[in-house]
Amino acid sequence: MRQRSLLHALAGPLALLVLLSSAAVAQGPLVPTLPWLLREAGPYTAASKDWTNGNVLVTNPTGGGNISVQHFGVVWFPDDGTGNPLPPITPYPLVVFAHGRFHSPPYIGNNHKEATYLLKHLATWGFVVASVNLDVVGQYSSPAAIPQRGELVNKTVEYFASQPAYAPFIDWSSIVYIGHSRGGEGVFAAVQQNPAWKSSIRGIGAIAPTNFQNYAIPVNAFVLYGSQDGDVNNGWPIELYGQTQNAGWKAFRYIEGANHFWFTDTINFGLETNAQLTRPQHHEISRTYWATWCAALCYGDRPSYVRIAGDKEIAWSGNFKIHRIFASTRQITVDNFEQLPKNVFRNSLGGPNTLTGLVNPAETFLSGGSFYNKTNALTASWATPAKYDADLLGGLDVVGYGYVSVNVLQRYNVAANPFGQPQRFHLSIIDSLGNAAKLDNTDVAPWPYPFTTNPNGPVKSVLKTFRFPLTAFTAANPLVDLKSLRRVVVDFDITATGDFALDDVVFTQ
Amino acid sequence: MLHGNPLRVRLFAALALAALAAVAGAYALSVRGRGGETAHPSRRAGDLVIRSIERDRSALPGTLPDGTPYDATILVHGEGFFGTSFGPFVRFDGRDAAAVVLESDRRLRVLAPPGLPAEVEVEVENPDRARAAVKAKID
Repeated sequence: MRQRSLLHALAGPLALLVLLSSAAVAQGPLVPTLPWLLREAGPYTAASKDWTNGNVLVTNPTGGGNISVQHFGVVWFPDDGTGNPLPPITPYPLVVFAHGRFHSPPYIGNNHKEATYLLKHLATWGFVVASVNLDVVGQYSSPAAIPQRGELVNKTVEYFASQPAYAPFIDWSSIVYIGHSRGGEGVFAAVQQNPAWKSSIRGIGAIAPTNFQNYAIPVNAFVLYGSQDGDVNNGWPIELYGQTQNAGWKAFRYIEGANHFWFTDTINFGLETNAQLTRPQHHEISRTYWATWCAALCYGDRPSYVRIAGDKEIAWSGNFKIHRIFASTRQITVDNFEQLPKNVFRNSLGGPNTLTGLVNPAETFLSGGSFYNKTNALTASWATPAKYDADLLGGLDVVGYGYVSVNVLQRYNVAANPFGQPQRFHLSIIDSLGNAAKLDNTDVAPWPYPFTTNPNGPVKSVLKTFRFPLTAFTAANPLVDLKSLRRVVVDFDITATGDFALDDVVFTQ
Repeated sequence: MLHGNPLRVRLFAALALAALAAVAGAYALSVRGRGGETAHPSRRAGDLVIRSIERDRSALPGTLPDGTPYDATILVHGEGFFGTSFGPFVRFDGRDAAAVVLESDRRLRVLAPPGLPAEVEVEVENPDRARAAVKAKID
């Protein structure tokens, strides 16, 4: 039976407030949906110039030494009113953008200008944004020339560091790489190549990246992926995110109804005529998230971090269904199901797990079938009320950690998960004296059925992060002592049946 | 323009084509687009057309940086080749090419895997799943 709480009593009025304030799909009452400044253009007027660095050498994708390619692109920046960079009060962070591959006339040689909506938006928020042309290695179908894209991204930094028209205005301790598709994987390559300024790369971002090279590097990374991607429709962005080692923050957004090429200015790809979101909506999501990511990384902007973590939802122009994964390295891991030998009855803290009513519990690597997350998780099903109960041993002090977080997914195409229906769970924390507080997943967000509207590729069962504020537990029961927690319990006791994966049970910031 | 018995015309055209292709180092025995067998040198499958196959005899076998070996370098001439995150794909009797370079929308440079027979079906598939295929001698 669901536990009543002050929060549930307020749910109705809170929901009404959210409805009145935005057109976005409401999260739970613990995740307010609010207008967000970075969705709009920033205070600077933006201007652009083409740039060229002549010819440079990159490694030959088919072997046999280097090849000479043109190195050029376009750069956007805050404008002084004459089409030149506005001298900054404090230097501007640098963003290097790596476009995707659409190797067909008339796009060849111009693809670096196919994200103007994004480049300009970032410039209005005080970034110098250099977009580098990667069509110069776009003729390589296979090998995919991903390392070469990384080389060109890094050479772009070197070029701008040498340019007196830009270098004095750039904060060389604050660099972000963002890419799309093969360019999205290219920015991972650029970091993997260990450039001399690697410590200045605050993080990277990728829209629907490929995963030819299976990089598994430590870096702050943010990945966007549409459920209707008709090009990289094989789940590779989810895999690459899963492979990436967390260097601080790692975030993912799975966007229902977004495709691949409508994240560009104008490209249409024949297999992608059925996106549910319009191209302007793709642009809105992309420019908002990238401005927010860059602000969080480069300016240490706490409100931006909160939006990346998903603790406040952005009020979008439409009812977008955007499904998040978020991880911070600042955490106490209760259970990540990665220990060897595999043992569902032992958590990462070394304490015992009690599994009640769970059918066929196992620690499973989420790869294959509809799984793409490439992480170990607890998989199981329930046909009667069931629970996962983790003993934390002794009394765990979580003061200073704002959230208890879990990642869950519904497995696609199994009878236990009614098609198209949300699932439910409760999360409880219990202290050493037995004081307990329980919340419902709907206090944070719905637990949706996998997005199925993609005739261009397989349905993906994707983990979703639920971050429950610890203050909500103590509000529900002030007796709960956060200095001495003993158990975390996930109850599957609301819906009749279910089949799921559970991962990353953590206390986190 | 040839006149007379249609069968004789088709046979003459095929022999002429074979003679031309033999000089270039390969020849098309037949081309199969989506519609089935035909004696014509190319057949439209969507906007994708293969016109001819030739072997670049100046190129040597080798190994890619990831260790993948390749043998012959094959040039595929046609129309409508393009690439997105993937493709175009080239297969020899169903085996993937070791490497594919999209030199233009009319030419592919393809590194063939080792161990192919002298005569193979060369298939090109664009990212939009349009396909065209031709039988060719590549030795």
